[in-house]
Amino acid sequence: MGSDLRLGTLCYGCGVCTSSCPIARTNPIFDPRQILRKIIVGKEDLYLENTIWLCSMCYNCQERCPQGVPVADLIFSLRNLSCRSGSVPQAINLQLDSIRASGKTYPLDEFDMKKREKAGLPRLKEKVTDVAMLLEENL
Amino acid sequence: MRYALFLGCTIPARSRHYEMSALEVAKALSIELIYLENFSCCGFPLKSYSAEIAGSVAGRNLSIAEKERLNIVTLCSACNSMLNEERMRILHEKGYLEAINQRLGKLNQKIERPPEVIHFAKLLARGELLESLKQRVKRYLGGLPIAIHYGCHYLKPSSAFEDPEDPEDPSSLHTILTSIGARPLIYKGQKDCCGGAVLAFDEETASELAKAKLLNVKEAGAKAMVVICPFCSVMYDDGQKSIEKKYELQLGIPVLFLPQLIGLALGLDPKSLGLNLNTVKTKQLLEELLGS
Repeated sequence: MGSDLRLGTLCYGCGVCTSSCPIARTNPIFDPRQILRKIIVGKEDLYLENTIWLCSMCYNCQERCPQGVPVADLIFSLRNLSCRSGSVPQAINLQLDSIRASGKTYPLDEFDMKKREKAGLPRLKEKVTDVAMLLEENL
Repeated sequence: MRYALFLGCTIPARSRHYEMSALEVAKALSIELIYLENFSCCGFPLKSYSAEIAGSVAGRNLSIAEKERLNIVTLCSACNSMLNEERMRILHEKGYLEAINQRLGKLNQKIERPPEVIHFAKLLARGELLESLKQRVKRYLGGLPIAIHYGCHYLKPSSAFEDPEDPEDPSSLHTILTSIGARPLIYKGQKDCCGGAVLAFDEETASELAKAKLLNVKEAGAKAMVVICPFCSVMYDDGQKSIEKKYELQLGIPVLFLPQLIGLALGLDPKSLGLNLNTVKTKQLLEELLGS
């Protein structure tokens, strides 16, 4: 997870990643081989390209790469770079806010608790607040 | 056999039937699942934001279970891969344990040796439990044709697991289903991702992926689909109606969580397995199985 982008230079361009990718098959704008190519030539603002957010994180590419390039992890690294530069997608910001406030991405309200009770499930703690401290680190 | 039950965020809010059926099956097999109230988000949703912060959040959860001397059982596949990945990092990456402990120090928490983390399905496929499961089958499913969906993070990245299953040819869910008398089908695109992870970024692609899968499942003649992750269930069960509408299709494929089907085979009451909470109605399937 969060791998060094230099590992991308191991790519010899066979395209197994792209041919294994369920997203590329459906939406050709997303092309992992092309992302690796851009890593190799050192495209500086690659992390700002919207396409890096289209990966479904299924890891097919990473499992199948004959050169051992951690393709999906490199895409995570690009996303981390984007966030560090201040470009955080709205969907991620919403999750961050929720985790900061309750420690969870889906906070449980009284309505949920009632439904849980009805289903015979135990009551859960609504908020786990110390997690927020782990989110305060500098990126 | 005792484990800390790691629910994650989505299950307690949106997939109570998964939780209910897992508890029922665990009880029937004498597996004690313990709720630890301080578990938080597993860390997976934070991976895109910061690998380090995601790791800290996962590490915090591992330290909570370690303190109680419990290994962890997960129901969500994303939690499964995240917590296992963090565990492997702690065990094998030089200097990482010190780094994570420094961050957890702010919370007065610490990891010495991370607990084991196993997905509930994987646990059931282990030798002794599988044997015990077989012996307890009360309602034979009569070769019910089922489309299994392993999904992604139960298997991948394989580097996250100490004892990975081959993601190209997984077998644990097939073994379980065969043991309870169901018939797992081989169907086109069975290893394809549900698309749940791109739902927030590209809804069109996400629904294309889910639609393709559901059509393949239908074509194979499955009476139901079996999933082991709440995100896959959101895509195939909760999303099925809007897919039918959007693409003008008639699907009507019940999507069950694995413990719901196991529970039926064990002769448990369908209501206690939350089979009335699935979005696509399970009534017809139940009538066929229970003959009522």
